[in-house]
Amino acid sequence: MPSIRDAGSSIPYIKELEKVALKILKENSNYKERLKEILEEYASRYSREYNIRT
Amino acid sequence: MPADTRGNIILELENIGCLRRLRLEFKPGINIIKAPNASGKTTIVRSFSSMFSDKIPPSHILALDELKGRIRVYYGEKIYEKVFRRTPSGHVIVQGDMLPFADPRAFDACVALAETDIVHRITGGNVIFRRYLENLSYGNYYSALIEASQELVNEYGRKLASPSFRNFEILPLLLTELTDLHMRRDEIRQKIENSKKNQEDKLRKIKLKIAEKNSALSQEKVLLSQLYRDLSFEKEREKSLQELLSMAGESSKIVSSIKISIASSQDRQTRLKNEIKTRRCLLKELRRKVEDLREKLRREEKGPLEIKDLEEKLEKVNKMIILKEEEIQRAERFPSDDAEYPGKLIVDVRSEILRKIEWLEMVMGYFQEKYMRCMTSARRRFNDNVTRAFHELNLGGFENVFLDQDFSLQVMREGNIRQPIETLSASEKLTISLLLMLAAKETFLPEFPLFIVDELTLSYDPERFWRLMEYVKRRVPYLIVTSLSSSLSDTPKVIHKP
Repeated sequence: MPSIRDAGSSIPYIKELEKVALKILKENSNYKERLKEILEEYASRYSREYNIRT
Repeated sequence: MPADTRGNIILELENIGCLRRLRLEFKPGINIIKAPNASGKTTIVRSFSSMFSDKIPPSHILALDELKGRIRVYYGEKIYEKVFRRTPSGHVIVQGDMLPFADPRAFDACVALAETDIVHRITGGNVIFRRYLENLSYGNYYSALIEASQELVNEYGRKLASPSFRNFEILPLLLTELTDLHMRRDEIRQKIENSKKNQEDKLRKIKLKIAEKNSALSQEKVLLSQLYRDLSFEKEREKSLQELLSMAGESSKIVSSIKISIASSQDRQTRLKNEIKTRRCLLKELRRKVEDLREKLRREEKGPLEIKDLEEKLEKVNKMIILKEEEIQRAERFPSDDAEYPGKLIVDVRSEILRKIEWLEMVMGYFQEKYMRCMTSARRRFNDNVTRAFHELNLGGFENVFLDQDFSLQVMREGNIRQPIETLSASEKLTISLLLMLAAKETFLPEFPLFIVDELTLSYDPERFWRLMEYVKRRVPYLIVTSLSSSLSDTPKVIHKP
């Protein structure tokens, strides 16, 4: 089974996302809508850059 | 253990709860706040807690009949102050600073009030501690991320199930139907082409036949005209012979010879007349045939019925193709007035959404694993600290207390017999609550300098109570305990035990 570090390194922007999301959650643990906005931004970025990567 | 060099903490309250003005000083060690009932002990605990945690609403802190109140804490040579104001609408707003060691988790791990989560759970018989450990270990951050990702995936899933995308899913079927229609159209066109070619062949053949017959007709006319000339010649010849016969007189030889010639001429005329008669019939027959062929040509030139049927079918198929292409266009592209994706190709939007889901699922997997690791580690460390507390305190009657894999609290009596939490006595519930809180503090907030216990000690015997307090004191710089006093003075007082 791959370690979480290996799994994490294969997911684009995961470290960046984790840093941003944890900062938001530390400021307000109920800030779910903001969290969803951030996740959506990264998901859109992944989708946009998908063709370039492949 | 080196002597604690921490300074005293001074708490000043103004218009807080039932207290108009109060100043208390806490020293490292055990601080017992003594006061009779309804004199503000719980108010002190709540107001002090609000300086390091935001769990208590400001409206529960400011005195009900006041517009403004204040909490001030002197800690480490600095002053930390919070001011509470009641707005004209009755809301209470707060401004000011938190203590430097403030942590929202501390209220659940370091303040034992009746409303504290863990005390509330244990006394209420709730044995599931997953959420409690999630909050303390920050596993809730990962669960919030997983939950938010899952909600987004669900939202995207709902989008993909909307009518626009459902139409897109029938696109392969529509394209197959369109291909079938095109094939049908090609087939009909081929049939029409073949029919027209056959018709042209037919017309060419009829025209050829007409030409042939006309040619034969012309020849027959020439021949007939020749026959008429021959007949006319023979008639002239017979007439001449008859005149010659009348002039020949008695010479039998000449007469006989002329008569033979006349007979021969008459015979020839008869043959010619027969021939003319035959030829005229033939000519008539030829004319009739030419007329029939012309009639046939006229009919054929109008075109056969089969082609008309085929052309009607072709028109219908063409209309169906146009409708199908429009349907495909609708299934392929969002309408130009679509609020979210105006005029965009559905296949592109669908791929975009599927890629978003793909990424979110990877993210969920990653955080799920992090959450599991975080919670497993939190549970193990928490259980280690609970076990150590029980063993060190040597509380009679209990073998162990721990959270199992489902984060359900298991209380084991001596002899490893499991005891349901609801069957514990009030003092046992309180003991377990305090020890779980202390274990939570040691596990997740080891540097937090306070532990506050509010009047939860009424059902303890003094020996057990002080054993517990001494244990806590060894782990926390400032232990604050409220206690009921029978003093006549209403003002809470702090008694310090180093």
